[in-house]
Amino acid sequence: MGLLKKVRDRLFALLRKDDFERELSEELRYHIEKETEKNVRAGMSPDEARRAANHDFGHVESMKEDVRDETGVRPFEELLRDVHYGFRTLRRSRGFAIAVVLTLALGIGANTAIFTVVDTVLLRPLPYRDADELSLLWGRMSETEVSKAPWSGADLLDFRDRSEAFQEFAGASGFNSTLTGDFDALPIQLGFATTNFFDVLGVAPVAGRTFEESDYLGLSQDELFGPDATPPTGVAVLSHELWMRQFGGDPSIIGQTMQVNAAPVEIIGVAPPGFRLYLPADAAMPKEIDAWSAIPMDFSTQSRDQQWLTIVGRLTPGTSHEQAQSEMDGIAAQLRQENQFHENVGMEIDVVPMQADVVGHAKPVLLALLGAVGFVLLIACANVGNLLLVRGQSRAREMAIRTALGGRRGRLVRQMLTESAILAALGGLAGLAIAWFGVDILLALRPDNLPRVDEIGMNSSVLAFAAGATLLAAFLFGLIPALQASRPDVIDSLRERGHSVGRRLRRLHNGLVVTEVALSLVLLVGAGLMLRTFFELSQVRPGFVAENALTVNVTVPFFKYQGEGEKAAFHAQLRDRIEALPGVKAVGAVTPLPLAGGGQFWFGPWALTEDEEEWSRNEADYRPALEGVFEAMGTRLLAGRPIQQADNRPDASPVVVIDEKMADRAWPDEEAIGKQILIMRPAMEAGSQWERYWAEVVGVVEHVRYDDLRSDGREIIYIPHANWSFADLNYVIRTSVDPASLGASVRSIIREADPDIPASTVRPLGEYVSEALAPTRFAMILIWVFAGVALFLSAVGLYGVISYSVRQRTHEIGVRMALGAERPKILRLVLGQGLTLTGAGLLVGLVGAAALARLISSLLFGVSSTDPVTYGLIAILLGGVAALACYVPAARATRVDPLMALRTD
Amino acid sequence: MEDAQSDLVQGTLDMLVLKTLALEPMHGWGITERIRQISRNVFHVKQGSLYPALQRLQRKGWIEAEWRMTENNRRARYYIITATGRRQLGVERESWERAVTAVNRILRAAPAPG
Repeated sequence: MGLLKKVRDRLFALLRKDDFERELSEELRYHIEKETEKNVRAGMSPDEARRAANHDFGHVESMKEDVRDETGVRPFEELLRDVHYGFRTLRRSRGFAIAVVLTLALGIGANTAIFTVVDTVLLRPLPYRDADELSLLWGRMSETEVSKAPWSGADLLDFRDRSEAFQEFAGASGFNSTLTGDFDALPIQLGFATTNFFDVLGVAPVAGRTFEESDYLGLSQDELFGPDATPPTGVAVLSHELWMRQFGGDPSIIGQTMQVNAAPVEIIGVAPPGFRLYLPADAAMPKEIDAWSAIPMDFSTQSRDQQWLTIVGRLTPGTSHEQAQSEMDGIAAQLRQENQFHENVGMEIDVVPMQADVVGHAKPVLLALLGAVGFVLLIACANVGNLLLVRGQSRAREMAIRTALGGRRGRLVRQMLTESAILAALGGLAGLAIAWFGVDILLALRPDNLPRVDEIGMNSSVLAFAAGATLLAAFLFGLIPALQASRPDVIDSLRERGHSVGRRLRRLHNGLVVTEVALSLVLLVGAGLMLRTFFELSQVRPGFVAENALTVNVTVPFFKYQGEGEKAAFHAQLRDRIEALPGVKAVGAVTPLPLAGGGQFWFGPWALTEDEEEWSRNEADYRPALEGVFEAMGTRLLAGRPIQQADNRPDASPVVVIDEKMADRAWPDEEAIGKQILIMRPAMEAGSQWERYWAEVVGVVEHVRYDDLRSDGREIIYIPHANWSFADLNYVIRTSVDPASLGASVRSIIREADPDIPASTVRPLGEYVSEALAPTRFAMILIWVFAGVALFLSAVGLYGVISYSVRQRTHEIGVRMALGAERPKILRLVLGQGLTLTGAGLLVGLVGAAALARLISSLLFGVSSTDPVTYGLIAILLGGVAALACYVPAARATRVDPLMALRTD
Repeated sequence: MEDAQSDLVQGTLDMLVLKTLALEPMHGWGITERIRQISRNVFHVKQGSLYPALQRLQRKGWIEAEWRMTENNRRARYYIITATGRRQLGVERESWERAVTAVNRILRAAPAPG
């Protein structure tokens, strides 16, 4: 008989239980009647015959039971009965059940919520074809400590020619741009990519087509940027989001021509929804690209130090990232030999698996959070275990009686396990509900640089995780009552009358409480360290004043204002008009904004002599700026004068303002003001790309942290915008009123000045600071939430164990008091018990915290992972809460009435 | 009516029931009667063993049950041997005969000389 049929028959038998019973009775009745008839035929009287038949038959009910046993459906029936009985007992002790289910729900819910995020961000492959074959290739300049640098076009071509480990390389970059057509000028991020870009990623368009090789125009610098250039029509693939947002998903948009930065572009296709080039948070390239264009200029002739292409490579099948890395190491060595620039900066090639690179910075935070919620689940299990122990103890008599009455031990254990399983299942369900909301809360709290958040959602692997966590929880705390029920001490339990707890049991209780306290301490120490970190970070002076300042990005269309001095004139009048607004105290402009990302790639060489060697070794951040920028930013002027309007005239003699770090580096023992420094700027004449020029240092300002709050960053040279005029500018407006209130009027001034300029990125300067703090705040808030839950749970656990112990020792306490023990002595007795447990937990926890805190040291700032102050304060906090949790039952113990206590015996 | 020799091992009872049903479909009481008759009153199957055995044999798929009318026009549950049941009967009979032969040899063995 097949297994399926067996199962079906038994289920069927289970469903037909009433029929079965009726038929069995009828069959047996028939048997007795036949027997009676036979007896009558043998000469008995009818009564006698029936009695004999009945007697002969034996005990009908016990025989029916034997028949039922043979049907093979008993295990199912018993399970149903256990579940039914379990629910009934749990309903009777509702408080206990609610406590257990809530505790578990908190543990499982928090774990599932965090796992949902981890699953999407860290585990799910990137949405490209065979995404594990993709690598990002970054430049690392060992001489200047710059890493994650993009490449020049010539580098890309060399990679293509020389690498065997990669089948193909694509390059891409992105710029603030303006899209114009028969609609308002639209600020967009324009991506420039090689024509194989979509093919390398393995992404097909949802409408139209992607690039073809013939889309590469290969224009020279002059054809594109020269004074009389009329660029031919390029091509662009819109992002799905821009297509929907701006054009309502209209397919007829394909084939139309629009202007990007005042140059004509034909729309050829639409990328799939959510498509992007995934990049690590510290990459220079913009993450959200609205339209992709094929690179129009001939990039093969660009010089090596024009690093602007992010390169993604697809491995030849069967090649590992490690093999690719060692091959690229060889190619890097060749390139250093062949190119002066590579040699000077010590250029290395880093091959990073794309997925690992994209999520790299989020990983430590998420893993720390996953660890923290794991602790919460363990604490929850320990707590539930304790609750079950206490409950099991108070049910010991019930169990003992049932055993004495012949209840099989295995049956009783199974009953207990069923109860645990019911609790775990309810806890798991409630946990899923908590996770459902928890994910939303997480997303609301998340920092902006958490990758792939828009893809986060519950899915089957999350459900599997929740189920797994539930099973683990059921197993962990299901063990305890099972262990307890298997103790062979029926007589003891009956005799004990619930007075003293068995030594083994007490040890189990204590062990659980010590574990809880220790785990909570580890979590709290982590939370404490994160709090210190957050505090230290907020105390950092970034080199500017974030409050009461508004920023607005002004991107002048690339091909407008090409003539000599036109851009400077435009900005001069725009600046004046903004300054005239009521409520404006100062206006300036700079690119990029501090803490806005990408700042590390606005850099250039400098030297104090004409020596070529010196020129290629020194790097500093270049910051094109308009006058008034230091006043508007709140950056302190330390010596000399700031940039003035006259410096931005085309005929002005070149000057720079440097920061204190630059002054220390270039002239450690001298006054920097009045010195000359050699720097570079885009060539003023056609034909060459860059030119070097000497500029006079006219001022020194305080250092500004451009990259992030945690690190100091590089030396800075502020250059009048006239000498670096192709850049977009970020106006910074210091206000005497709420900065946000000026947004609308600033926008309208810009629109009046030039309707082709989009001005949608209007943000208070403070937002960049709080964004820089956001990842730390995110981790800190969550770790505190988890640590808080842990603290609460262990306080409840401690309270439970001490109260239980007081209840058990009421008699003993009564005797002690009757014999003259003072109340303080009783208080000390009970408190002592709780504090010993707490102390043990604290000790274990301190050791564990010291070992585990090292794992989060990459998240910390301004505090060591073994900071004794934090450890001490946290131990005191936990100790205090624990003492409070013990004090309540201890105080109750002192109110024991000796007479009553002795009488209850 | 109890017989001292009637301590039927479970396996043996199953075999006897199968054999009885191999002759013709029968209800529970009929099976006891038939076994008693054929064994000439040596084996008296107790009801307490018979009905659980019938349930067990059904579960194993060796017999099937069916409600039928008796010759006196009353409803009774008849048991019918299945094809698997017949095969099983063959197997059991064979092993039974091997066991009986073996036991007989032991019982008839002459004491070793010496």
